Amino acid sequence: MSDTKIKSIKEYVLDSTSFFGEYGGSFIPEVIKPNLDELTETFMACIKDESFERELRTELKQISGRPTAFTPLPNLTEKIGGAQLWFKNEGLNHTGAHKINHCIGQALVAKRLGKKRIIAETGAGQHGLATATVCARYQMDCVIYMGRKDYNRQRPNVFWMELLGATVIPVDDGSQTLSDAVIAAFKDLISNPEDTHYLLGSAVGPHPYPLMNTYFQKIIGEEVREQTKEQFDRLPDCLVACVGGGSNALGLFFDFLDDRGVEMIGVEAGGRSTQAGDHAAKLLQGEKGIFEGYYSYFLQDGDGNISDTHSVSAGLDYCGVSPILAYLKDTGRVKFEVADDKQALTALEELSKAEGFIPALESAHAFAYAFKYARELSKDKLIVINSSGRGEKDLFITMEHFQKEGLTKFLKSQLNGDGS
Amino acid sequence: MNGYNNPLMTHLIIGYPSLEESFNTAELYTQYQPEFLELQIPFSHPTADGSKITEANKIAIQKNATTMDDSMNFIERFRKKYPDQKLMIMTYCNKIFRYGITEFCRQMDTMGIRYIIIPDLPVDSNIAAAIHDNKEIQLVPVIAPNIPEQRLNKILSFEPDYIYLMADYKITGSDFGIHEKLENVVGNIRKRSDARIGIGFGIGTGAQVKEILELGDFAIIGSELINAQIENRLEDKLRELIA
Repeated sequence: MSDTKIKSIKEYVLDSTSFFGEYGGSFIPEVIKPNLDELTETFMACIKDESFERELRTELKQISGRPTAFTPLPNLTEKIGGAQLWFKNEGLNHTGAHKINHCIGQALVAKRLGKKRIIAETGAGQHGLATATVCARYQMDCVIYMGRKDYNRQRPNVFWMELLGATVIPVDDGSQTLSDAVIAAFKDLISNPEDTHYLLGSAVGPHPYPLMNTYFQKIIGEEVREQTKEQFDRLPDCLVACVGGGSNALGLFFDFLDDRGVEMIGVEAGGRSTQAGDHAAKLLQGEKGIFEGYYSYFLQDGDGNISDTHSVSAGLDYCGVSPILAYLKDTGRVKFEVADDKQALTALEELSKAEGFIPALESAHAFAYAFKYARELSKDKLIVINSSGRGEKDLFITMEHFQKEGLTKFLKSQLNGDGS
Repeated sequence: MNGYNNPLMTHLIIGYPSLEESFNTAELYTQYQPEFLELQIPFSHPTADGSKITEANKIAIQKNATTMDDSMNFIERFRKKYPDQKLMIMTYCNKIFRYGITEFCRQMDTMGIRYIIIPDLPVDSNIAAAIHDNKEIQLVPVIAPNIPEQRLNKILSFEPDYIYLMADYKITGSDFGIHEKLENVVGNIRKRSDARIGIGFGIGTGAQVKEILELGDFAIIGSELINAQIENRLEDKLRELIA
């Protein structure tokens, strides 16, 4: 079959009624079906409505400062001696990460639905922070669920969310991370199916979330296309993004899916080892399953129980992955690689010292792999990395790694009240 | 005693508090002759259950390492010992998906089990089609008072023998309450179907059972039985529920 006969992947994804290949679907309790049906219908109407699109673009510009910068890494490019490295700085968004893109989008849909109450899950806290921000902006009630482990390790974000008026509820079930927060949010929706919109924070979950969040994130790749055209008058050769649920990766990749010459690499969290429970590499080590409303790859045991995950970055510490990425993996359009905790931290330090950018620990996984891969490519090639967020939110985790004594001393001095 | 006609479905989790104790609990329930016994195959992440049942699942999976094979053996052993006690088997979608849906249904059929409850599997989904392929097994729909009429018609088109109806929008183990739309939904089901209606979620006292039975055919009790078991008053509770 010639390429011309293959339907556009972009059209295929956008035309989906819920499945992407065999993945996706809507495996949900009946009680929330009316809520999600209504959401699907309204979302599909919104994206066909020019006034919605105009409002969305205006809000993204005025609230979040889009377009975000497209930035070269000249020092690392020279040091590594391979492909040219550029990155898309999604960390410059309001609230510090790409999450605000789909939060603004979903909040505008929720407004049209007349919903007054928003709930969300969060891992790293970036999606929760962005949700709390849009809820304050549009004056909606906001409840954020957060696994207890994340609640403790992302304390600064908890504080900001509360300051923005959100109620943050730590979840003590399971491994106390992102997946448990997702379940808690679904349970909330089961109890409040009429007045509440669940602002799910990645391209996962039942239909329409994978499609809807991909749609609201695709602006990342659209801007990169324009920015590479302006800078180089051509397309990038390779796109690299980290993969937790998949929202930033799909945001970067989507617009290029039909440009067959553009290689795409998703980087999963290798954690501390390849043993079950020590990582979050579901596309590389997971098995097909049905969980949290969708059919995709999940880290699980032979009996169908969902495994614990680990990553130094809370945003990647999740057992499942977007059904759209599962489909793109099977078709070979996107390749998947892994970077572990140590590699991510090393890349974070390199980028900070060599270029003056401190990425989120999530994004550091993408940088880690890109630095390695750049060596294998010639100097005329262009790699674009998605820096999905900035690193300030990880202060306590990063500091513990690089300057543990300094952190301990600082915290002690604060407790003793002699911090001035 | 050969009635099994007390209008109740008592629920328990296989492997909680231990595999053997859960078998003993099942035997105890059977002595009270409920219309149905609901046996839940434990799952690491029970997405529609409240904290009590979630915790019990966690103990069954993490502490007692209850496997699918353990659960299947439990059901088989119970079936052989109490062939007249009707059973519904409840679990979550991923458990039977990983086990193999066709194989799961074949084994259920072999054991004489007719009804399975999977709250995260819509009856008209592509995955449920593999269950409908086995003509002996029925997926019991779990619906709530907010079900739109069109959706109810769709579900009734599968001609279920039983319907599991949520008394209110809640997760299991919440406080008792009857949603204002419940009576209307029951009426709509009665008009179009002969399905027997079990009503659950939040039911815990004899008085609440009586209230539920004015609408439904049987009351479904789960979390409150776990509470009673923990507090060593399980038999008192069972006596209260059937009084």
